[in-house]
Amino acid sequence: MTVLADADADAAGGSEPVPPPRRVAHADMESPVELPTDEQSRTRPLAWTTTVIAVATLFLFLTNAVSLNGWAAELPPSALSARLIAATQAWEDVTGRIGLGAPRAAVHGAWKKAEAARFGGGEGTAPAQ
Amino acid sequence: MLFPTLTFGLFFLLVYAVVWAASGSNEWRKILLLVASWAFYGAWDWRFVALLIFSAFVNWAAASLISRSEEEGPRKFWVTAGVIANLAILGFFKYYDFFLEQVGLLLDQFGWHRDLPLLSIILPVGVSFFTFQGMSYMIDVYKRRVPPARLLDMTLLMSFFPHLVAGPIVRASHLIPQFRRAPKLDRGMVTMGILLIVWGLFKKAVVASWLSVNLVDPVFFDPTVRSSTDLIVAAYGYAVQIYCDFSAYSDMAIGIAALLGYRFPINFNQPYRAASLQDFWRRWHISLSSWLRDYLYISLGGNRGGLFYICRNLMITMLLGGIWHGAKWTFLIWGGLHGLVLAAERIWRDVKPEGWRGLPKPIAILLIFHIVLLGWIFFRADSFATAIAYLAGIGKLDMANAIVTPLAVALILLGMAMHFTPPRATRDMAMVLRRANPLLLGLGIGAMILVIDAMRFEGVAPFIYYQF
Repeated sequence: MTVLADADADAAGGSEPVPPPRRVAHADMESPVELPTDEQSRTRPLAWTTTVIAVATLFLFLTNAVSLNGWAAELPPSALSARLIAATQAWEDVTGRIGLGAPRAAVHGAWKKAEAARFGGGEGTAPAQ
Repeated sequence: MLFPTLTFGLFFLLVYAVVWAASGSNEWRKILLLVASWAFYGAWDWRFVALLIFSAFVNWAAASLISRSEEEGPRKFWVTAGVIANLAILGFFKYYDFFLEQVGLLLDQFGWHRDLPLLSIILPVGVSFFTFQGMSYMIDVYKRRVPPARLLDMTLLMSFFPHLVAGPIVRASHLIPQFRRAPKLDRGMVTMGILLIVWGLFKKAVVASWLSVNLVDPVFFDPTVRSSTDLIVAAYGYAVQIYCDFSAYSDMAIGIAALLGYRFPINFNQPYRAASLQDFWRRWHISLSSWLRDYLYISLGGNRGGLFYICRNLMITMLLGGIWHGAKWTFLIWGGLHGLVLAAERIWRDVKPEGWRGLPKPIAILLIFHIVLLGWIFFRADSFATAIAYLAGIGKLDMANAIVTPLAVALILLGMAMHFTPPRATRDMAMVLRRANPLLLGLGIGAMILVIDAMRFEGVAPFIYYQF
C-alpha cells in the first residue's frame, strides 16, 4: 500500500516543537475533475450545465417512459402513487404510440438475446428480472 | 436512496436547483446541503441521522478543545478522548455482537455455557466512513495540519451526501477550504463529472449487478455443488464485480459533488494493472489506504526501526484494515493475506541480490492479480469454511459448465479491459466535450443513459461497500 512509499517523513511523535498550521498536499488527494481551464470553460458554466442536464432529462422523459412507469409502480401504495401510476402508464402509452419508446425497446431486446445465449449455440431462458 | 435509481435522480435535480438558486449566500447554500444530506441519510433510517449529528458534534468539540490549548498534555488528553469516543461508536455498532459471540464460543470450549446479552444491533449505513472522516479531522487539528473548522463546516464535511455512505473518505484539509468559499463551476469540471456519473452508472447498473445476480451470488451461495469451471469463472466475476461496484460509487460520488461545485479526490486508478501489491494499494480505495498510512501505519512507527518493525507495522495495519470492513474472520484473513504479501515484497526488496531483475511486468501483473483474486474469495465468502470449500472445489478440476454464459465472459473481459485503456482516456474525452454545444451534449448524455437503462438489471442491489 501507499504506506511503504513515504511514511518516514511523518513518523515523528507528538512531542516535537509545535509547527504552525500547514496545508496538507497529498498526491493521492488530486481530483479527477480538476482539468486545465481556458476562457471558454469559464463562460457561463452554470447556464451551460443546467442546459445539458435539462436536455438530458427531457430526452429521457420522452424516450424512457417504461422506466418512469416501473419506478411509479414500485412506490409504496397510496392514493398519490395510484394517480402517479395511472399518469405514467398513460404517458408510456402515448410515447409508445408515436414510437418514442422504440429505441429503448430495441436495445432491451438485443440485451435479452445476449443474456439468453449459451455456449455451444444453444439458447437458455433469460434470467428472470 | 441508491445513486442509480430514479428516486435519487429526482432528489439530485431538486438539490441542484435549490442549492444553485441559493448560491448568493454560501452559508445558506451549506445549510441547504446539510439538510439535503440528512434527508438522504434519513431515507435509510431517520434514527441514525441523530448518530451522524452526534458524531460530528463530538469531533468538532474535541477539535475545538484541542485547538484552545497550547500545552501538549491537554491536547493529548482531548485527542485520546476523541479517538476513544469514535472507536466506541464504531465498536458498539459494528463489533459488539461479534465480540460477544466469540466470547460465548470461547466459554463453550471450557464448558461454561452462558446466555450473553446479544443486541442484534442494526449497522448504520456508512458508519465506518463517517467515523474515519471525523477522526482524521480531529487528529489533523491535533497535529496542526488543519485549523479547527466551524461547526457548520465540520458537520457538512461528515454529512455531505455524495460521499456519506461509501466514501471516498474526504479529508478536512481537502474539503473544508472548499466549503469556506462559494464554489464555482467550470465546463471541464462539469463534463468530467457527468462522464464519471454515466460511466459509474454503467459499471454498477449493468456490469456489477448482472454479474452479481447471474454468476457470483449463485456460485458463492453453495460452492460445494459447483464445478471447477463455475468456481474459477465466478472468482474472476467477483473481482470484476467488486471493482465495478465500488469504483462506480466513487465515480458517481465524485461526479455528483462536481455538479455541486466541489472536488473530491480520486479513489480508484485501474487497480488490476498493478505490478506489485504495494502498487495495488496505491490504486485501490486510495482514500482508505492513504488514511491507514497516515493515521495508523505512521502512528505505529511507519518505515522506522528496521525490517522487522516495518513488517510488523504492515501486518497490523492490514489486519486492522481487514477488520474495518466488518466483524468476520474472513475479512481478517483477507487483511492478513495482504499484509503477508506486502511484508514479503518489502523483505524481497531488501534482500534481493544486486543485479537481479524483477519479473517481467506482464507476469508480475498476472501474479499480483491472482493474489488479489485469492483474497477476494475470502472477502466474499460467508465463512472461512465456505472459502475453503470454494478453493477445494477449484482443485477438483471438474470442467463441467452449468452457469457460465457468453455474456458473463464478455462482461468479465470488459471489466478487465477497463484496466488497460489509456489512464487519461476519460479526461481527454472531457477536454473535447467541454467545448460541445450544450443541447447536443445533453442529447448525447441522455442517449447514453437510455442505453444503460435498457441493459440494466431491474432492481439495483445496494452497493457492496454500503455494509461497511
